Amino acid sequence: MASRVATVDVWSALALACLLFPPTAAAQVRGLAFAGDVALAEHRVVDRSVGGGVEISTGTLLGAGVRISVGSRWTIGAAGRTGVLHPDSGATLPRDVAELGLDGAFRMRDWFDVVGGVRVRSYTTAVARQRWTAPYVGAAGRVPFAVRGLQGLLDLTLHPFASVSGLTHPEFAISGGAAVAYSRGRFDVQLRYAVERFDFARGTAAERSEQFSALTLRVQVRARSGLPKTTTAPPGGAAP
Amino acid sequence: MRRLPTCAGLVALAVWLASPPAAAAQDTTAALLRTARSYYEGLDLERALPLLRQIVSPQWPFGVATAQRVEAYTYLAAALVLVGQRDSAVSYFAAALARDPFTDLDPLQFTPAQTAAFAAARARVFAVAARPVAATRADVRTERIRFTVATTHTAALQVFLQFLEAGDAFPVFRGESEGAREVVWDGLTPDRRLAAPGRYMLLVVGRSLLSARTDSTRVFFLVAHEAATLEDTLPDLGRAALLPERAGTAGAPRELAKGVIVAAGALLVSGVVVSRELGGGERGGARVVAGIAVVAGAAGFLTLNRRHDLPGNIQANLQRETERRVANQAIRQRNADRLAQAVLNITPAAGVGP
Repeated sequence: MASRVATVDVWSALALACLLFPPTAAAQVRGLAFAGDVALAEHRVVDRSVGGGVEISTGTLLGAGVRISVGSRWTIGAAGRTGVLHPDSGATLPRDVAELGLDGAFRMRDWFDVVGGVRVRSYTTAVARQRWTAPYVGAAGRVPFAVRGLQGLLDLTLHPFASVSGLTHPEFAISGGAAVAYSRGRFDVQLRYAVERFDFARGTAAERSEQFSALTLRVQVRARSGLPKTTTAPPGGAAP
Repeated sequence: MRRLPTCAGLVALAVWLASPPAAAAQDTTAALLRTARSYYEGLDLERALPLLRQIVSPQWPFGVATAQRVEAYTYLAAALVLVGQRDSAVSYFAAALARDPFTDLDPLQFTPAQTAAFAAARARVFAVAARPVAATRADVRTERIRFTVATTHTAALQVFLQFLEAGDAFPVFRGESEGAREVVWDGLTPDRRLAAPGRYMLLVVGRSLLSARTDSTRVFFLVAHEAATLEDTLPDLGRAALLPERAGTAGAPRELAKGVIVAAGALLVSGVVVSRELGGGERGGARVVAGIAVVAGAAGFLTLNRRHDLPGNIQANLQRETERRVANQAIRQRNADRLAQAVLNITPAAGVGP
């Protein structure tokens, strides 16, 4: 039941993004790419108000996305992923994860982008459902290697306005990632490590920390030329 | 007792007068010869003849050079012709010719009777002679070395050259000759090689066609090759003079740095962002990405460090090699020209004699 709800959320968000995309911008679309990914994810939570130590859940997430380039500097993408995180230590219930992200990047230099977007994620168990909304802004850098098509990617973003249902705003929310990408022909392959961290009510009895990390393998196929072979967007979040 | 020093002084004076230095003696002979010639030219033959007879007399106490003796004989014979003693004149002309076969009478200075007597004397005596070789420098490509030889009358003449350090004599002239003759040598040996430096002998052999008498004479001379100063060719271009023709790209080490930066970024994210309290964070994944980044940097390093040709340097090196080759060709040509000059330096040597 929870999985079906999450799937509906993803498709709803995609439909919303399509509706919000201005028709005038479509004329400037220069590139189109579709991506699929698989991620080994780990979720850790510690809540001092509850006790019981660190809850650890791990699982595999599958995702898909679309990305377009607008003009010569903008890249916009939408991606969704879903999966189940199984209880590993301290946790008792499996969690369905569904996530939808709308991401953008503006190329400041050949090696440097300013990135931003919003990510909506839900954790659903048999007894509860928690929604995360995390807008983010940050920077991403590309490090091209001499081997044609090979480059490294580094990013760091902040989530200053993140909100979680049932919780206060996190006092500290940051995510970072590093990846190595290889492009050949129309295909891009990227292996990315990312971790995001949210700290709530630091220094109080209700202090809570959540951490989501993932090692993601993503394959992207460019349907139209014009899209950069490997983009930094979306760097935010644990999934690409 | 007082007469003894006086007698000794007179004896010493007599000895000094009797044995003058050779040069002074020849000066005395020359003075007497000049006096005799002046008498002869003034047709004062009665004064000239005694003086000339004095010079050629075995009793003449002073030294007489061969040329002086030949001149004395000649003028004595010429004077005798003028006084009608032709037979004696012919004898004296013959004596002059015997001592110097180059002797000749200038028809503008001597009468026909005198030249006729001289011609008669030529037929009576047979001798050959060669003038000492004059010091000379000859480029045998364009110049010749000349020897002057003479016979008193018609003879079958052979002139040989012999390298005294090795080799047989080879002829430079064969044929009939009378009087003075110039013999030309091209500076080459019979095998058409340049004459080797060393001591040579010019051998003149004549056989009279009138009396079947033979005579010979030799003249020695030295042959030296003029030392040609040769230029050294330019040495091979060493490694220091050549530009490297193959090299890696300068940015290769930077690729390693890029790999390290990305790897450090992955480890930094897993180290800084991950909460210490929570731990975990799939740091193994960060290490995998870091490792791949290092491998990517190494691959980039190897890609750029792969040695490749440097066309600009190759072209520059070819240009330098070409310039060196052209310069060496010019130097070799100049050296060959200098060697081909084949300049022989001829100098007279001791050992002149019949």
